[in-house]
Amino acid sequence: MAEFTTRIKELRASRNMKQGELAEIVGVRRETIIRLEKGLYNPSLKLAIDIARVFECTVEEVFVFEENK
Amino acid sequence: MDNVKSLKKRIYDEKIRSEERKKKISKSNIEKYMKDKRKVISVREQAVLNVIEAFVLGTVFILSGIRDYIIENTVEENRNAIWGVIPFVNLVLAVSVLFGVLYIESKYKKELDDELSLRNKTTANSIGWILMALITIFAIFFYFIIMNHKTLVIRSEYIVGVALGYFMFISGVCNIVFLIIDWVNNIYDNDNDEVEED
Repeated sequence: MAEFTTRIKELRASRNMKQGELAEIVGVRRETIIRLEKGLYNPSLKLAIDIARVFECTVEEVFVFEENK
Repeated sequence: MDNVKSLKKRIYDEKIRSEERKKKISKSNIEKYMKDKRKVISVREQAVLNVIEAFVLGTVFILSGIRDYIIENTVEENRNAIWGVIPFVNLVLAVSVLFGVLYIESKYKKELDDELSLRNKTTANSIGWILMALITIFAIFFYFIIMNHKTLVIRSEYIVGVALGYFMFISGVCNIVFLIIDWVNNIYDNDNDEVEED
């Protein structure tokens, strides 16, 4: 089973961006960003790409799937 | 063979056109939303409003549907009073909910659904319909087995009102399930750091 984690919080903090601001840019609610940051929600491919574009990263750099040992 | 190909192409083109239409509508909705300067009413608050609306209108429909049935089963001296009360209660409930919803919709703009809220709503709708089906089965069981009735007379005079009320109740239950899912999500989300940031 792969574990889903994201670097959204870290990337957001480095750009001094609030959850609400990121939510507004990518067109979702703040609740969705909160759940994404906690790895409680798997986003659609479109949302993943939109978020990666905001941080000028690749999708793999923002969303990480780690195989459990 | 050519016919099949041209039919496939036509269906494909139509699909592309409808997708483009959908995108345009969604884009213009987002633009309208961004330009609107009114206060936002969140998806959660919209669900609460929907619950109130569904249950009040459901009650109105059912009451108006079974009014004749209630009157028939009332002692003769009280019939006039009941006949006068039910339409009055219905009118007051319907008008107050209608104006309440119109007032709120004029004051606030509705927050748009995103993929998470849409997914939660789909889950809530499935659970809500299953729940209402179970409640209906239990009600029928209760009516025939526990209350020991042998027949159920369905009359055309009140079936429309009861059916409309029933669908309103289903909508209400689906919204309640959505609120529960949202509330459970919130329990996990409550240690978010946005409060500190703001």
